Amino acid sequence: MKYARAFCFKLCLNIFSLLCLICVQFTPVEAETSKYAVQIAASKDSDSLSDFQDYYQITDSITLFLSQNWYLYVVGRFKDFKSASEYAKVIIETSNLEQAFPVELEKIPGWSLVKSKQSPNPQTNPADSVSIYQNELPAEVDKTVCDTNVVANEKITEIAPGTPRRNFWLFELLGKKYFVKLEKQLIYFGNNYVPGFLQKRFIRIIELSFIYPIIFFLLILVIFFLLNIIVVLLILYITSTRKNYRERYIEVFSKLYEEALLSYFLGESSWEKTRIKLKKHNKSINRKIIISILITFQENLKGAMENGIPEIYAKLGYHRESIKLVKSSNNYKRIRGIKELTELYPEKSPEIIPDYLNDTNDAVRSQAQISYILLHRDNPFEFFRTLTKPFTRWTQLIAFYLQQINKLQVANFADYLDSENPNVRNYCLRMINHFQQFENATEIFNLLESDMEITRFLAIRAINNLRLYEGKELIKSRYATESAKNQIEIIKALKNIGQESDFDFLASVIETGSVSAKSEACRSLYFMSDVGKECILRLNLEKNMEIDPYISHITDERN
Amino acid sequence: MKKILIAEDNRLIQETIFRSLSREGYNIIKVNDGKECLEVLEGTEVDLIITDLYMPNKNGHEVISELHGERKSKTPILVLSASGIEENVLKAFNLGADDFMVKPFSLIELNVRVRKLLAQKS
Repeated sequence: MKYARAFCFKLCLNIFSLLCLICVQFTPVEAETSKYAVQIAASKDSDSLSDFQDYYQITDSITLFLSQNWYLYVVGRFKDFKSASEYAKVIIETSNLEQAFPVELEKIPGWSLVKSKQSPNPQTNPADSVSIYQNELPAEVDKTVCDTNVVANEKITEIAPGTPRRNFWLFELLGKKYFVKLEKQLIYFGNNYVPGFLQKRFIRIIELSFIYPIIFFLLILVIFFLLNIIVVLLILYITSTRKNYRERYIEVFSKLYEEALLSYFLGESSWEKTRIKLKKHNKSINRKIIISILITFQENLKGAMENGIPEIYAKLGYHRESIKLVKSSNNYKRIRGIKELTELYPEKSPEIIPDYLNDTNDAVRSQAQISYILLHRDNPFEFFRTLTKPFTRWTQLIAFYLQQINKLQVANFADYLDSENPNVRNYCLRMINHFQQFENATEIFNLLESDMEITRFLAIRAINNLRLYEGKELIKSRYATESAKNQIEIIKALKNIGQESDFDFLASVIETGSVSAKSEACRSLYFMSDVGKECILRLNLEKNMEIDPYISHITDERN
Repeated sequence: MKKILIAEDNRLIQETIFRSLSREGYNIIKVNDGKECLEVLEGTEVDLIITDLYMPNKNGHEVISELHGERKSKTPILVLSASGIEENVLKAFNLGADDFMVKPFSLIELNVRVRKLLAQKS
């Protein structure tokens, strides 16, 4: 603290000394004793000096001279060259000027006239900082004769004639001062940091962008895009690093937990030792790893381990977390919770799962339905009685697959044919078809009156596949009012359950039906029996129905 | 010491079977897919092969077919699969498998079947 105070005091002292020095050294001397001044600009046109001062941020009084058709902008009065030179550096640093250099006053035409007049003191009267030659020049000045003594061969700072002003609306809005400073800083940057071969171009672009708004905005756009790309790359890098870390973390802990749990299941380790090895098991990601391992064991192994797995699950307290997940507002979490409870908590999950069988979310509902089937192996489809929401095709496929794989009890699907849920009715018809449950034909016949075309279609198919002869007349009577698809199904059914009495019906279809109906009718008649085959050949000959192509088609082995 | 080859792509189940059979005193070789299984069998003779059906590169049916078909191997094969569909079971036996176990399986039952197959081979 002591040293900090001492340092601050020294710093302040140095700054004060410097300021005094500057004031003493660079205070311009009175005009009468001056020999040198600092030239800051030259122009072919005499611009308004106040604008010039604003633009370049110059507070000094400016004297304007004319030399060889050039207006020379000069500030300060100095006794010697050294002072003028040092002041030139100072004015560059404190203003927006790029160059300034000392000049010998005696060599500037018109100087004698200035010398003879009393100049206003810029410090005391800033309002009079403009030279007496701002808008008019003395008649005595010879415009054609001049030999300005440019000391040190510095180039004259040139304000090109007709240079557009940097005053588009953004500059006016945000302040000229800010943009002038920005331009100067960019040019400084270009002069000092940009590689030599790019310097000129860079500076030119900067100058143009501050003159023409569109270039300015284009540059801003380019910078914005570059920043965007950098941000995106940064995000990608961070995401990738995190992902790699997470994968490595999962790999390490997976191996650790697998080893610990396997040792426990094989009787090589006690529960207490295993519990110690299951480090950080309460952390969310670690919990997921352990549950994944337990589910893998549950799906692949049985016997002594079968009871051990739910036991570990409960001992670790994971069932509480699963129940919380099931109640989450996030559908993905609910599905995860239902799955965990189904696989690892079979004791209590039958009480929890039914609440989600009619969930509004399709995925949650589907998982709940599948879980129900797995948990109720003796009666897996009892939930059909209370199902009000859809039983989707995808869930139906999974249910069928689970039934096959797990050899579940085959339900009496006819019990659910009176369900108000059309998905349930249709699924049951399919299952009746597959499992050949022809005991409850009456319920199937009732479904021929259904409003839904697909239900009627499945009922006709069931009548066909189950060879329900008593349904033949029913489906024939419905032929005229049925859809084209169902008509085809009726004709197909007659191939299996039709008799000679149905020949006329099929013949009428061949005569008047569509191409598909004709084709199926020919097939049904041809393959119904030998009598049917003779009948169709006779029809072709006697009535000239031109059904040779149909007969060729149906007898082709490829069909 | 009898040598057994286990072809199973699930690392955890592979390790479980490995640990269980190692305790019985068998020398176990582990592979992760069908192709690796055939490559190992080219250079090494084993007393029993335990294979899964659905594996990357070559599946269990292809492995059995190649062993019993082209190579005319007499090594007993025990198939261990989650797919207990009749079609898969029949196909495995027709190709030359000696035994079939459906997952989930019991480790004790596995040990018993392995012992029996090895005894038959002897």
